[in-house]
Amino acid sequence: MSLAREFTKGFIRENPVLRLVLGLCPVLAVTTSLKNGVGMGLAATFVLVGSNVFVSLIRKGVPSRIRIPCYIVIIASFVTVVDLVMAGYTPELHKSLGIFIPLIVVNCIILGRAEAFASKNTVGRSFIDGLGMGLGFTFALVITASIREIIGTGKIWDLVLLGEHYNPVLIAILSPGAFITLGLLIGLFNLLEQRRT
Amino acid sequence: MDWGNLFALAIAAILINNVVLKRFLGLCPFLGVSKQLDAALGMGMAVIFVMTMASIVTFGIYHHILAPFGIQYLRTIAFILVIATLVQFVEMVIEKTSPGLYRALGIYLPLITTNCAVLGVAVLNIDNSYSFVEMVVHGFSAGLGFTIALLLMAGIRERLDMADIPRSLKGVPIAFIVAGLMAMAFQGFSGLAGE
Amino acid sequence: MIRLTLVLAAVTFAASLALGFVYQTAKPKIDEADRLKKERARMIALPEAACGVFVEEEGEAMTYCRGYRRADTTGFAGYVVTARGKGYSSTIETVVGVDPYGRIAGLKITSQQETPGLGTRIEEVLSTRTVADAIAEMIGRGEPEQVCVDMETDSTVDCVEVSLRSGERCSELEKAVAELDTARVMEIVPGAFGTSAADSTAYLADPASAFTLARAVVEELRMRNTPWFLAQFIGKEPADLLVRAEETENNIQAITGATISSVAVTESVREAIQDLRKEIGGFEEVPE
Repeated sequence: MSLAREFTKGFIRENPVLRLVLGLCPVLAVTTSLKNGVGMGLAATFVLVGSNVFVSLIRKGVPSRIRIPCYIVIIASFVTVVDLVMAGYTPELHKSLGIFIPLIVVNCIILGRAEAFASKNTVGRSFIDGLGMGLGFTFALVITASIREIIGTGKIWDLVLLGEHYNPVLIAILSPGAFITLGLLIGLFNLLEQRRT
Repeated sequence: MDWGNLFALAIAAILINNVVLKRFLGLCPFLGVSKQLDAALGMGMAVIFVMTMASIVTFGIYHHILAPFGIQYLRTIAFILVIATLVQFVEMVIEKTSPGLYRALGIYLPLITTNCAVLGVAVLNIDNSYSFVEMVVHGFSAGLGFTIALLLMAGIRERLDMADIPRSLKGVPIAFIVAGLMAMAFQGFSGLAGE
Repeated sequence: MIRLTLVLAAVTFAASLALGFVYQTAKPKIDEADRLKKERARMIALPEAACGVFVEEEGEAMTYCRGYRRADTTGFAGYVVTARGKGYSSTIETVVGVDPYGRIAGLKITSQQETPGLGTRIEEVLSTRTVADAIAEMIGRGEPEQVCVDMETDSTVDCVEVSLRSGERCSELEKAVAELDTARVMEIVPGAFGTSAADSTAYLADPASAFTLARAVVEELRMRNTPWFLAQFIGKEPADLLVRAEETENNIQAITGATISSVAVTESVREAIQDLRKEIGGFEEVPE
């Protein structure tokens, strides 16, 4: 595949959340506001790109039987880096995301890409793949967060969108709303895929 | 031993702050294994065991190794390695004692390593500053809550497969919508812990 | 088998070294962020002491702070205590400022993990900025900002008319006010706390005026940042704190759908002040 297609496949055709159905836990938990969604997306993208590059670098030297624990250690290190940097420079976001920052390490997308792609491809292609998948993940987070925040609070990123007389649909912000919104979004993407073929 | 407090903690972990339906942890196995009741039960049991053991071991490591040396920032690496090892161990035990269950669980058993719920509960134990007993109760109850949600979901999905659902909603989307309705039902437990 | 363990150990060791390095660089930043947060909470809780000093005291049953108007611990402004209450899904920690007469001077919630959209609204500031406002700012037609409070008359006075025509300067001013960076505020809006640019330096040199300046910045911070739920507490005595469905003179209106969070904050604040009263032996009488 050409590099350009490597990059764009992560957005719609092979969107990790909405088509491959991976990495769901953070999507439901942090999409209560757009700020949190974008923050989580960028943090996960950083970890994904970093771990893809390093896994690709050591792919020839690591014995096959020990590869998964090694990948996990690399991913966990990048997650710790993100955790420390966010605690120092963006403490508010760090507090809102809470336990989901260390949970990036068990995000199926990252280990999945390391195992399926980075361990078999060059550093350059792994970098692009990581970037594409990570931004696709962020894209899914942004859509879900926008829908939930607008319906659930009438605001978006500190801007009032729906005015004073809007009665917010609180369920969208609570956990049932998360499940239902995501279910409908995945259904929508399925429909789009069906129409294409 | 404050039994009232421990009981409230257990009820909170199982019903009120249910690991899957409220905290959104452990969703991949929740969607993957919940298609049949017996596989779901086996998975649930495995998760309860791993979660309780992992909680105890990670708690010990954090308070006796990481904290005294001031290297708490290494907890993510330490915890995930502990969990990976525990899952390998459980996998070996199940393979020897019950090959049928081993085949039924298939790929999902090693996937308990990447189960957000196990790592999530371990991290929560530390963040909420639980004592040893509170931590054991919390770990076990969280696993129990996960199993209950899993069983409920499996029971519904077995019947859902026979229903007439639009093609684009089949599979994961309808499972999510059902989970949303379940979460709404569990929302009703929220007044249970208040004084 | 040995080789496998060695490889894994090597990778883990290398990772730990790298992390140790990152940690050394990040730790001062993290500590600084924590310290700033604690100080800012105290300044918001007890604005009278914002430009003075806070002295921590170890009591018999609790720790609290005394706030003073000036750095040499003269001009007693009040107390600062921390209240903790069990909310819906987390412990809510509130920093409360109490004036010498036992009334609440200010509140800041420092830690909570309540339900988004419900309990987290105890920290929400009523946003009035609409999309239209944001667009207008971006095109460069923002309204002039007025950041002056006259200490004597306690009213908003007309500053030098500085029209902040670009959105950039608006947000810079906001940032400087949020960080209590009085020097920066003066840079962006020359004469913000005086009548002309020339006077501002003299303003800063005189300690009383410096206090006025700091007070004005903190007031601005409060006006912009006080969550509407907590604003109802200010000026009340502990006995008056009651959560009610409709707001009346002496009661506090609960947050819709988050009664447990509202009650947790009110009860913990009341308890903390009563503990403080016991600790220090009673508040002063309000002078007539």
